[in-house]
Amino acid sequence: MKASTHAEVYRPFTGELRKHPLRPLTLAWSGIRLGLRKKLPAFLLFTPSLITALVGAIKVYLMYSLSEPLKEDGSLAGMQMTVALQKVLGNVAANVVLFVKTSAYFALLAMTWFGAGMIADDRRMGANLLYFSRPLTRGGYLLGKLLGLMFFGLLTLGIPTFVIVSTAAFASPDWSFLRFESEVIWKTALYASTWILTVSTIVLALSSLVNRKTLAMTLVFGTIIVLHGAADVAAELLDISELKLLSLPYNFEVFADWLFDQQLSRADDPTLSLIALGIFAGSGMLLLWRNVRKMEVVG
Amino acid sequence: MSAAPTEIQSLIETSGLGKAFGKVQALDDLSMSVPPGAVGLLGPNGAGKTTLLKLLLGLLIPSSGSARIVGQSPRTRSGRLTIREHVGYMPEGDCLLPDTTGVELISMLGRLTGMTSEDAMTRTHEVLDYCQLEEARYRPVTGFSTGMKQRLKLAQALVHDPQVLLLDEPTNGLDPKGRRQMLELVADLAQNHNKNVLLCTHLLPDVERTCEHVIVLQQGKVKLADSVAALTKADGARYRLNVPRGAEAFTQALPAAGVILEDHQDNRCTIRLPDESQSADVLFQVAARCGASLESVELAKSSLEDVFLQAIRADGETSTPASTQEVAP
Repeated sequence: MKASTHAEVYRPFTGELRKHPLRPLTLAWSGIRLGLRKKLPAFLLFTPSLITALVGAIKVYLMYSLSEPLKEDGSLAGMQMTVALQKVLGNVAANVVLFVKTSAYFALLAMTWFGAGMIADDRRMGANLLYFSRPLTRGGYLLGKLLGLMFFGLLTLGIPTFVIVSTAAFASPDWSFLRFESEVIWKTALYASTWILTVSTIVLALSSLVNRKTLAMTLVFGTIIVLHGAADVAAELLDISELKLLSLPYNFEVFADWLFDQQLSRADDPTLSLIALGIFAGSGMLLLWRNVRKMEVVG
Repeated sequence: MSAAPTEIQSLIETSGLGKAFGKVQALDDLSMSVPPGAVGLLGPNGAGKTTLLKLLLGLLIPSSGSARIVGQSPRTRSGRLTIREHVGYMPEGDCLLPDTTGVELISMLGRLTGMTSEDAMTRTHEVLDYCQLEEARYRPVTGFSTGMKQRLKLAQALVHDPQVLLLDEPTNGLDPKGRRQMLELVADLAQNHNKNVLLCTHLLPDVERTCEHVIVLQQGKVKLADSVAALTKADGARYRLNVPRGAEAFTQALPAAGVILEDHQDNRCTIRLPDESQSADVLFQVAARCGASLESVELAKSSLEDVFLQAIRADGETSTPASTQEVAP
């Protein structure tokens, strides 16, 4: 109930509008807040990533904390224990790589959930009219949406990776992980960034094609799974291994194997996979740009 | 608020502006100059009102011609950005983001316009208070009634205190109370806070109540543009009469005296003298001749509805547009 003494008065704005405000950040922050508003999906999507990070970090910690004293012991039993432990736990770098490759799929799930509605909902509600009646360029809009979605990628892939790499760095004796295996860090960062950027672009591009979040999610999973399956089957049936390049997971697998110096099969060409990933990201960006342009200029 | 790029003599200028959607010509060679102040853009549905607003904001690209608003052309990138900084736009549809509260939505849009976070938040509360949404500010906008949504859309248009407001059907879907509140806000902004308002509507009373000027659009063309006062001023040759006795004989005798009978219902009739300078004495002479009595003789003022109907029928338009059916008596 409104107080009878209350009077609404229009007050002119006496401040100044900033010449170069960080509009994309405002938009990104708004997207993040909206995404995190629903607690259950956030809990369900971040938990697997968190568990994987914890398991990975504990495993890496155990590798250093158990194997180093045994090595220093110098006895035969100690050596045998070290070998057995390494068999069970593997080496640290391989564990980090395995962790990143596994977490990337959790990141895909989370980014699809949070990103599918980012542009589709704007289209459905006509919110583009509110955004583009402000001094917001389409580049600013696109960057804002990308940054917002990449934040979720960072949460599910970037931060857990940082946790496991930090654990390795701190648990290793005399900072040996940083001194002798530092390339794993930048390679992991490069792989995670490529994954996040490519997936963000694809998710937003497909989100900009439809007016419903559910439809956009179906489109993302459909595109990735159907392309992967079709590429695999076609490559087998027609005996043309290059057809596998149509699959996003395959290209990332080859990229990871090449980046982390793991053995590649004879048919796998990392250059072609990198080009294929570039084409995926590039065509996603082109589609996104075209659709955002149509959202700004509505007819 | 940064200063307007130029002192505005006319709020909006268009020259040969045209917009076609496929075979449909939404705007056709539109040339007009809209003065500052509160201006009503009237026209039946499909007249091209919303298209004009979107062209002015650069949300549509014209097929031909040019437009300027606050001295800037929406065709250039810098012009578009300047326009959007100085203009507040209230779209027609429900374009509010789901899952946001009123405060979140308005403050985010304020920051997008260039306000600091503190300014945007302060200003958000001010405009929500002004638009009478103070109690609903923390509620999700999806639960808002139509009236609240309309006021929220007005609030977002006002958050950066623009000098020009483009309001697209602000009273759409509102009940009489909500409509009155909305019109009071619009009138207050135009009359007491020097806002230039372009009110786009098909409801004549809304324009009559809030605007000083009116532009009538039909089929993408300007049919009429003038001040409301000039359009509705008394016509010196038109009279409304009350004839309690002998009305039939009186109306039949009028043509012989050169008087045109425009309307006749029961005892009341509206007539037009052949010449504005002619005295109304002729009416009394006719009444005396046929034994009728005249109770009242007064100059007839045109309502905006009369003017609107005359304007849209001027080119041989015979059917009354659907929108005029909604005009309140």
